[in-house]
Amino acid sequence: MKIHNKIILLLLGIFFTYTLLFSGFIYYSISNYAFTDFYKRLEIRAASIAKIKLDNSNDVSSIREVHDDFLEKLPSQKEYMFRVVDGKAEAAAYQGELPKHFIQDLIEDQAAKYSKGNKFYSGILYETTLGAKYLVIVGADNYFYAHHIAYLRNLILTSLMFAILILVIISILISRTLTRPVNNIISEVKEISSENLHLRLKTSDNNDSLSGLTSTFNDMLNRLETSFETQKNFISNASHELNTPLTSIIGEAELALSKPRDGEEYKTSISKILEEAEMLDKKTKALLFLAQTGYNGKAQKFDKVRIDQLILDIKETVHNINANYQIKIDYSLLPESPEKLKVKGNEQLLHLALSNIIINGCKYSEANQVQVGLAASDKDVIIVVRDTGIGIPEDEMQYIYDPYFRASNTGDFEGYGIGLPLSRNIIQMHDGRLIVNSVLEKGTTVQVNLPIGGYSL
Amino acid sequence: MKQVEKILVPTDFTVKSLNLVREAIEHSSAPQLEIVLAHAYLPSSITDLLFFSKSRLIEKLSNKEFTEACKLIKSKYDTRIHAMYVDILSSNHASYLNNYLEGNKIDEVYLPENMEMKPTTTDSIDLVPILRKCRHTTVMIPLPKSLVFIPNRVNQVSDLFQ
Repeated sequence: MKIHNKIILLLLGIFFTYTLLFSGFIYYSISNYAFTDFYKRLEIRAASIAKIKLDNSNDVSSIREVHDDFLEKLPSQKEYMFRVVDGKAEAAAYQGELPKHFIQDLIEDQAAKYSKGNKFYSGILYETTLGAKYLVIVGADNYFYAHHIAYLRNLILTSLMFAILILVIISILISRTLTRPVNNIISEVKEISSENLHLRLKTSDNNDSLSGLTSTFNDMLNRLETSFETQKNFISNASHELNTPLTSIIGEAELALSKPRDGEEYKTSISKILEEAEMLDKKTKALLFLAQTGYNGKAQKFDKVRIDQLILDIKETVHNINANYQIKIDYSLLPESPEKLKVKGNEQLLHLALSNIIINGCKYSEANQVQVGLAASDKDVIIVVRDTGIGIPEDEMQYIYDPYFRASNTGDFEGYGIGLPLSRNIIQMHDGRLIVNSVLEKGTTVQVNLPIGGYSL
Repeated sequence: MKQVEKILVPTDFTVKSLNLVREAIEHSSAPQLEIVLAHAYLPSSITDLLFFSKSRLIEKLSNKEFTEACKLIKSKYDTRIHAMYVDILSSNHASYLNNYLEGNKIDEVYLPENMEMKPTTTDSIDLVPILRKCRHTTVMIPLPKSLVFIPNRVNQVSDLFQ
């Protein structure tokens, strides 16, 4: 069943039951009241008639006055009086229109009620001052019950009909207002595909859960679009990067094959091809590594790593790569307890990430000294790499983690633009943070926070 | 010699100013130190005065890098720092400061010799010249040149490294 119809039926059911109960209660209590009230009236009449007709005391005249002045005659009012001797009424009582069980009840209980259709009877057993017993019965048409109750019943029935009509309309309106925004979202979402990911859902200003849903959906689209864009950029950049060495390999080979050459010429061109092929190999390897670190949950072995030791190792490695690179390690803020220098991580990966950052610092500061500071707070090990190099233009800071992105001022330096994204991937794998601050022409500071492993001595 | 010495160091809630704390700890010979990072703040608006709350003010003035740098110093001198906290002074009168120093039993005041403190907010006051006039044991600390002439670095944890 559609949610639309479900809401209508639910609302209708609730409201209808409520109205039915409500009107039924009113009808029941009013008719009940009409019954008891009318019996009471008949009983008063019976009592006063008995007093007037059967007793001859002094106060009878005043009762008669009251009776005549205030008690109007009821429609088709009829009075019966039967003498009772030895617990039995006279024979006339049993022969009239009154049923025998009513008379019997009357004698036994001293008061009784009886109704037949519209006709109501109420009687009492009256004992005169002289000791004689009489049954005094008054019967009359209950005009109120006959006419007003019927009117009330019709009124309630018609109002119920109207109520249902109004209920249907209200439920349809409510269910429309509830389902329309959802339907709108559905139709809008249907329009969005990979071709037009820039489309967003319309958001309303009110702060209900539906607008929350739309904004959440829009956020999701934002993320999707960014990752789509990154992917697209990555593919075009990667294919360009891989294409360049391939083109030169092909060109070199074609040139060599265009005419017969001597051995020396072949040798140079093959060595050129080899050089380009090695470059290509490096690039694909870096790419592969980036792809591997990009996926979380891969089985990487995490072990105890001492960061101070690691930094010394890295210094050695960097020296081996280029003897001109100068690194100054600043241990002045080294924490007192060595426990704070141990992190849980993969040593090879961390080595790669940090050496990438340090080599970047050396490379872009033209072999000026690079400072590597090590410190620890209560939660993190903090490694600070500070160079006095070319810096990163402020408006390009947001792209520095895009693979193959290279800042506009890096033209004179070699590189593929893989190092920093790779480092960030690795640091994120270790639940760490990478903070890059840079002032153009002044230098760059990279701060790496890695959570302390919690190893004791 | 006292076991715990209480020292006062002015701060402007930059990481750079915390270098003074480092130098002070290195300079002091006491086995343990209680360091009061003092900042003078004179509320100018009535509402600030009425609803003055020291902890809220400190929270407003301090920043993430500053607190992180404080933690770095604490773990560097774990056994020597008995306590380290920020306190707000609310006057620029020398007599008030004298009272404060005496009342809080400050043993020594450390001031930078060659570095200026930048006012953090418009209501902040530079404590260094006022403290210099106080009749109290003040120690002037020359900070390393490399630090003083750092070309307008952004406030970051790495300012703690010289």
